[in-house]
Amino acid sequence: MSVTTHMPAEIILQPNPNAADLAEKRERLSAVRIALAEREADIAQLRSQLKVFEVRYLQRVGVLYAELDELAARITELEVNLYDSDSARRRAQEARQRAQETHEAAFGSEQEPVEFDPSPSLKTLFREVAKRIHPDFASDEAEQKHFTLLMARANHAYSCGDAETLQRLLDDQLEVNAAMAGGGADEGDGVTLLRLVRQIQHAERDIAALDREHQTLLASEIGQLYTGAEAASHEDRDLLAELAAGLRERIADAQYRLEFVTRQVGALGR
Amino acid sequence: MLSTAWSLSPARSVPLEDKAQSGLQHIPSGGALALHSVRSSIFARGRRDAANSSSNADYQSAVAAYNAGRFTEAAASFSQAAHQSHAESQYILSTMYDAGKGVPQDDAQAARWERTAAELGHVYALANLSFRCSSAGDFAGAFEWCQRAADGDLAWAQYNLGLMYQKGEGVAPSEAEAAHWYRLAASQGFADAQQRLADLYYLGQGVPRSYTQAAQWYRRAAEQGSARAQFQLGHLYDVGLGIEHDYTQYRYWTRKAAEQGHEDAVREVNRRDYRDP
Repeated sequence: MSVTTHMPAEIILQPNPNAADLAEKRERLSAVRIALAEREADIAQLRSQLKVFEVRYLQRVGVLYAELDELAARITELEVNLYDSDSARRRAQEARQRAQETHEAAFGSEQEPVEFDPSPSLKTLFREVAKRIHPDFASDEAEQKHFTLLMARANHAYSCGDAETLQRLLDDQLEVNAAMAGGGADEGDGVTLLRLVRQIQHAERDIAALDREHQTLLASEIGQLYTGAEAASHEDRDLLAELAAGLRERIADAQYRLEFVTRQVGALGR
Repeated sequence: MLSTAWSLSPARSVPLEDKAQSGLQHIPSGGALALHSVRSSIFARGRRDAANSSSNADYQSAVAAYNAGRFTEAAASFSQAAHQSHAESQYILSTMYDAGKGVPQDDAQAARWERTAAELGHVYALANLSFRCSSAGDFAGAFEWCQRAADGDLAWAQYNLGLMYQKGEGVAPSEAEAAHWYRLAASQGFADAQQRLADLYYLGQGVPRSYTQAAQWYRRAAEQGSARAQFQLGHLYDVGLGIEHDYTQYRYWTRKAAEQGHEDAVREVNRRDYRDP
């Protein structure tokens, strides 16, 4: 298939044009896989930081929004007593619904753990992936490291019921294996080159996907709040405390208004 | 019976004048109950509130400069904060562009920042934007923005929303809705709304007719200097509707209204002085 097969043996032992290329690709693959592993670690860290931040936010700020919305709902409900009209009733209903939503968001944050019950097809898919990327079957140390990473990703995808990711992991391995199968038992340089190119492409694609996820996480509302809180803490400020203080002022205002409307309703009753 | 809606000076002049009097201090604008603001997640609200925090450094230096009368510097700092989605700064910047204070007068910039702040739910910006729409003849837009400002518990907006309902401007006319919004503004002590609500009680429009309620709301408005309310209150004392007949009170309130140039009151006073000097 390549020119090398027709060359005399002496020349093959010499560094042929592909050898440098192969070495370069191997190096490249190893570098890209290291970068990928770092990205994976970064994003796992960001995810857990956001999770922790989310809980703190809900405990210190979210509950105050719930309190504020509850007061707002009670005020609009009293306003219906004060002056009944379609719009007053609609406002009261909307305020009550909002208060409920906020309450659930603030207090119901700990989602009920869903029982893990994968479908048979997902199980099969996972098994197919796992047997191809099991670290025990790696040919060398570098590959073992990489397989460990893939295995973690597969486990995570499986536990989330993420068939798409599992399918992509499987496709990658099938593609790589197909390239190797083409070269027979003895992997020729051409085949190796093709395999390396594919593996580099896979890793680069995964890095790009992780970068996108990283950006999405940071661009999310909680991500931006987190970034803001981090920036504030560099100025020795506590953003959550500031938010909570602002909310307490608004709660005090709302309480005053509630008392005011309650007195009005009382006056009307007399 | 209704004069033009927006007969009042628009909101734009109100907050700034307030600030000029009290010195532009820290003004937490988020104090209003954001009942109807865009339904957003609990995180989005926190982020919005955080972005509008009074601890924003550019906002703080802008306020300091403004209070010291260094308006060019203030405008520059407000602009910095405005670009960080600080709604209060956007609102003040829009009023500065409007007035040409610290920056060259620029309607397009004023409208731009007013809208940005309004979209962040800033109640004064909402009210100003509503007024801007109304001035441009966009009554549906005026109604929509005014409703959001009214939901933010701004008395001026509640009163104007009542006017829109009463006139059917930008919305199907409804005296009952008008009464609802007048009442909310009236409860906050807004004199024109108290007088309008009293009118509705007096005429039995949108509410069951009640001279007692009319007299009560006219009194509150009259005490705040509303000429029409003073005249009407005098009239109720004269005929003893919803209130015990009281000649002294009748004369007192009618004269108060006449002093302000209320035409019916002037005529009434002249007639009475002729008949009953």
